[in-house]
Amino acid sequence: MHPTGDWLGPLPTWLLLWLLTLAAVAAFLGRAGRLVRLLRAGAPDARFDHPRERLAGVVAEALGHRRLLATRRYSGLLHLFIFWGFVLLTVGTIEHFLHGLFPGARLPLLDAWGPYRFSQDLFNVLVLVGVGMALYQRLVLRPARLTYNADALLILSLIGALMVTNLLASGARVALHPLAVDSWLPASQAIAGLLRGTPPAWQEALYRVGWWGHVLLVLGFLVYIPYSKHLHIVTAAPNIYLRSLRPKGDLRPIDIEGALERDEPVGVSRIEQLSWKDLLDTYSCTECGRCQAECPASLSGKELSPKQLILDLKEHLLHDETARLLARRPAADATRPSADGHSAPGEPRRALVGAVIHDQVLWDCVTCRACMDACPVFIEHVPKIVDMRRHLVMEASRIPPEWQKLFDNVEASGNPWRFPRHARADWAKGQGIPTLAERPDAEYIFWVGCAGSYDERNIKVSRALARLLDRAGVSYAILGREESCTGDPVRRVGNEYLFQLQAQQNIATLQPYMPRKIVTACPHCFNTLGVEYRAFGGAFEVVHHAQLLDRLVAEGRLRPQERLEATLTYHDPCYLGRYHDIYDPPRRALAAIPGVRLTEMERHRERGFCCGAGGGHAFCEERTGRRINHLRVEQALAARPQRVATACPYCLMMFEDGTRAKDVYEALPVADVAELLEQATRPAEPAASGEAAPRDAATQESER
Amino acid sequence: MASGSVLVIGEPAEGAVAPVTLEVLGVARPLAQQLGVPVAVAVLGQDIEGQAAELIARGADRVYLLADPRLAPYQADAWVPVLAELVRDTGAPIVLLSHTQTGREFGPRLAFRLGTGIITDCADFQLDARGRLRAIKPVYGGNAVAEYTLAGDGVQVASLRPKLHDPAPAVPDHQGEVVRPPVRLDDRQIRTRAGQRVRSALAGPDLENAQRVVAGGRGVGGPENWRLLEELAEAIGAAVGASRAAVDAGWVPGPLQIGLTGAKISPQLYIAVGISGAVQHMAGCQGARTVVAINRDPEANIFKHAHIGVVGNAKEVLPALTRKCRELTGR
Amino acid sequence: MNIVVCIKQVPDPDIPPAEFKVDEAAKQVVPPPGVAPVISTFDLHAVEAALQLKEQHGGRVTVLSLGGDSVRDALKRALAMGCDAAVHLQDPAFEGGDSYATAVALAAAIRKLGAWDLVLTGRQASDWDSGQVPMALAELLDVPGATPVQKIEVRDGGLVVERVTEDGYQPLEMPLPAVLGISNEINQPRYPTLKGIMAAGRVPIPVWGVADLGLTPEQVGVRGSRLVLERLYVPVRESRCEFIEAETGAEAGEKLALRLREARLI
Repeated sequence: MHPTGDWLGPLPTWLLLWLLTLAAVAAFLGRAGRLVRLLRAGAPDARFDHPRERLAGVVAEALGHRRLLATRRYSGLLHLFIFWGFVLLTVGTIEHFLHGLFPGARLPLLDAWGPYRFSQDLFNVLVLVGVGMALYQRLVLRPARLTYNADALLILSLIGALMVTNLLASGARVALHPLAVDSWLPASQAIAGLLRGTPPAWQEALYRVGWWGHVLLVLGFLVYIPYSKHLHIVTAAPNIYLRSLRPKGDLRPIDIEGALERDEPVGVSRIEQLSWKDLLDTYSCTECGRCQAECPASLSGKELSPKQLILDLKEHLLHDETARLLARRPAADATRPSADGHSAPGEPRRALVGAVIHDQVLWDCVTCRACMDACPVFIEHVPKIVDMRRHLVMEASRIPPEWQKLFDNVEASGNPWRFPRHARADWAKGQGIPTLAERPDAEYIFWVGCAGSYDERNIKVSRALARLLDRAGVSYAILGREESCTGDPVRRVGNEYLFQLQAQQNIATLQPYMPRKIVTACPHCFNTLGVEYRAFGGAFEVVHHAQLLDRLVAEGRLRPQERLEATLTYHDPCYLGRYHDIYDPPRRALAAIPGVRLTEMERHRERGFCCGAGGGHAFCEERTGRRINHLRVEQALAARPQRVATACPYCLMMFEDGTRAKDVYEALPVADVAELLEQATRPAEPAASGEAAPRDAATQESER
Repeated sequence: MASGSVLVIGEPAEGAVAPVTLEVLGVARPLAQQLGVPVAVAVLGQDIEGQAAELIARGADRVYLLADPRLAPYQADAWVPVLAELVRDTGAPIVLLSHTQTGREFGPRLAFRLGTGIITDCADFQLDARGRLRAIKPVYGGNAVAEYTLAGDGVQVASLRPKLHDPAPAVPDHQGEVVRPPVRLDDRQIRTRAGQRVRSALAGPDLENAQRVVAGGRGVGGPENWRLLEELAEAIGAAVGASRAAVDAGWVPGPLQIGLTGAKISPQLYIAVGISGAVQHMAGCQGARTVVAINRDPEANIFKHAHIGVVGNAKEVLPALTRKCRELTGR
Repeated sequence: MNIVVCIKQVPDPDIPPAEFKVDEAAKQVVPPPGVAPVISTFDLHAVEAALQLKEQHGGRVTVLSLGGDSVRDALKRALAMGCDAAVHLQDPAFEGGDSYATAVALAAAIRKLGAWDLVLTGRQASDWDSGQVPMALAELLDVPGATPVQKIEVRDGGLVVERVTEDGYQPLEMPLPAVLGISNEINQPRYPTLKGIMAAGRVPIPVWGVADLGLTPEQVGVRGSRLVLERLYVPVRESRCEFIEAETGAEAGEKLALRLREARLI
């Protein structure tokens, strides 16, 4: 018996298989070539460094399904079955084709090896289980994150049919040629058992139907894949390999003057101004919606869905823009032109920013990075959003008025609220807090930040931290009036120009005091000073106060003794947690306080939920859907804590706004880690000296 | 025509005298008495006959009624030449008007056409030893006070900030004359064509430009108490604002929000009721000259920024405050 | 349509009252250190209104400002927003001028610029709050005008504007040329684009003095002023919060009313 050993009319069937295979491969390659040429229209991006690290990521994430199994395990598991089934069954499929294409040849096929045939049999079944689970999820469970379209059902049916045909062929084959003793193929043998007693001709026919069905489905699949979301089969692993290895909090710097001189854009307003890797991201999206299911904007009813954003970009690239991008002269392809957007002839049919991606979608993002950390194929949503915001701000001047005010305020006064520059250190007056002029030999510069300097609530945190540093014998000093906004909010809103002005100014301020360490209570300052200023010549050693306090406790320089009998939940600030993987130090510092019992909210650590203030949102209103901070307070209440602790001035403000709005301001005090530690390390004598106002959330409870 | 009166120019009004005109009259009368001259009011428009009696009852010694269909609705191109002629003809030493949106327009034009200057938006007037007008005017958003006189010896024009002074009280048995000078107006002087005034839905003082603002936050306690705020605002001629918390709670619409992400106000008087004083709110009212805080919590941040504080429940404080304000201002 | 916008640079109006200082002898405001002057808010709305008219109807926008060296920053900002040209009126003779004297210089500059259809200014500047310049310009240029304006429409070669009133607005038609004082309701001033900022740095800004305008020093500055500033001072102000003491809320309310009346705040 040979599947291609007979004739179909004048054609030998092996020749028919050749023709069909060549046609399908040609169709696949044609489409794939087009997709590759479209990728090459994107802006350059260096993504080939550190091959070992990259490869390790592919092993863990693609082969190991690390992210897929970290959350939403049902989906992860079903995907694991299908994925590994595909990997192993592809070997069988290749053998199928070799067998069919070269009917006379004696090939050294694995097929003769029992364990191999067992694996094929097993994974045929596991894939079917996976498909069944997927269909159950899609048709019965129906999670909101998924995209419900015909494509997904078609693909699942195709996969199911592939498995069924394969099993039929295998079963018929077992029926026709009962196995040697060392092989165990439970599924195929079960089918063979059903066929027992049927005429061999029927079994032979069933084998051919199964074999040809499988082969034709494979060819059909090959042609269909590049048109489907299942393109990720091809692009996911490369996309993981090519993922960003830059520090997570480091937005791509722009050479503004150079860009203007070369007449290049400073933001993204056309699809080809995104990098080729950004475009590859769109090919790799599987529509799994894990990003959307973690996105505070999506979950609070805003227009932004990170998944839809990527799909809209893909749709725009593959439908609106293909003709224009491919119409470029080959010469232009050979030497990639600068990403000025003028290299492609003609105008886009639809404006990328505004029509394809609405302005509001871009503004909705809080840059919390939850989407990126949830994406199994490492799609980078936030940088794309910021790049398009840069276009809106610096090129199109389409800016929400509140953020325009933010820019004016930062520019005029060095803080987002336009409080006077010279009042920046007023909070420290009479507190015995030295400036660098007064204590030139200080080991640490205490970078207070705008909120810590001007916001009455966060001034309490600044003072608490200063007292802790004093108690621990840490030599520190503040910059005083010289300090200015790091530029984090304006950068994230898209005003790279103003950010760079702030960066240059602050670097010039700090440089003369170097080398020194910097400590700050603001995760945004921490990220900007420590990570982002490097690109502008400011390499500073920065610690977040949660890290420093943790260390001081560990070293015994701070001894929390005052009991705080409370169940406490810690809220992870995005720019401390997801952006810098600092999860344990604040928790350890809190746990060191006698009486504190830590409990976790459902969304914590890597899955922490933004307070709603990131990406400039501390300075504008949410007008659609629910308020993110209200959602977060509800999540906190669900964990039934008696207190909430955090380590970010904006989280603190947003949380307290939220507890006020929910009328739990008294019942659920919110405090910074520093305030609680300060409380716990007060010297024994009742010389609390009335430093902290009674309103202080930290003191409130203990006084009751 | 008799000469030398302190001349008040009436705000364009349909039917009754505009309250702001009475405010100016109230300020003009003592000035005229000091100078020993009559106080006169010029009323321009159509169907203005009815205003004369009330103006005389409130202390006007003379009322000029300048009736002409071209003077109503108001437009500067028609008013300014008529007024300039009246001032010249009557030889008024002082011309006063209200610094309303309309007064802002014709006041300066009139003064410059008369070849003099104008002191706008004054809080008060005095007379110096020579009998010349000395105007007291808040400047820099009320951060400073300037005192001005007008150069030379000619006619002096000034405008009075509305709602700062009480309307002229009724003067029992006061007699005055009504004069109807001819309106000589060359149509070629009227280059504009004015339409009827349109009332917009959002009446009341505009929050950002208001001289007085009353705002409430969560401490007001609920939407049912918001009325107390509105009554106070009405009693003292203030705009109503809110903190984000009150907007968030759905008690009042978004445009009322004061703060970084809302209106930025710089009133003379800001009464913050039940507002804790979060940074985002304070960023919107840094320009307020006098801040009055009413809050139950003596430790509220708002008291760090307030000049006058009341620790108490808004529900108890506001009605008494409103009642007493009405009593004191006679509104 | 050729539009001239007159803008004024003022001390940042957000200087908190506690920081506000005056040199009483010089009768001048002393801005706190490190607070840069800004374009008066209403003037930004006037610039925006001019740019929108230009975008709809074509033409050119020239921005004018009178003042010291720092005024160049204000002019640059207006250029960055999209104005085509800027002129800086600077001369020691201009100093200390009132609204009228300033308007004399501005009107002379507008005439010198040549063909113009429309002059826009802010309804008032946030320093002295006089609001006289727009109407002074209308008088000096002998054209129709309106202030405060919340809407401008070009119709049949003329304008239809909405003049703000206390309870709404009044529509007004007028031929060009004209002068309008612009109110904040009209628009939301744009933020300059990066290209605008960079391009503004390269636009030469001519400086015109008294002689360039064909004026004499007697016509401008203190000598050309019609107002005499006799005194400038900061009113006494308590920096500490004065708490109203009372037994009941109602008593506190009454006492507060009396206190406010005493301070002439109501």
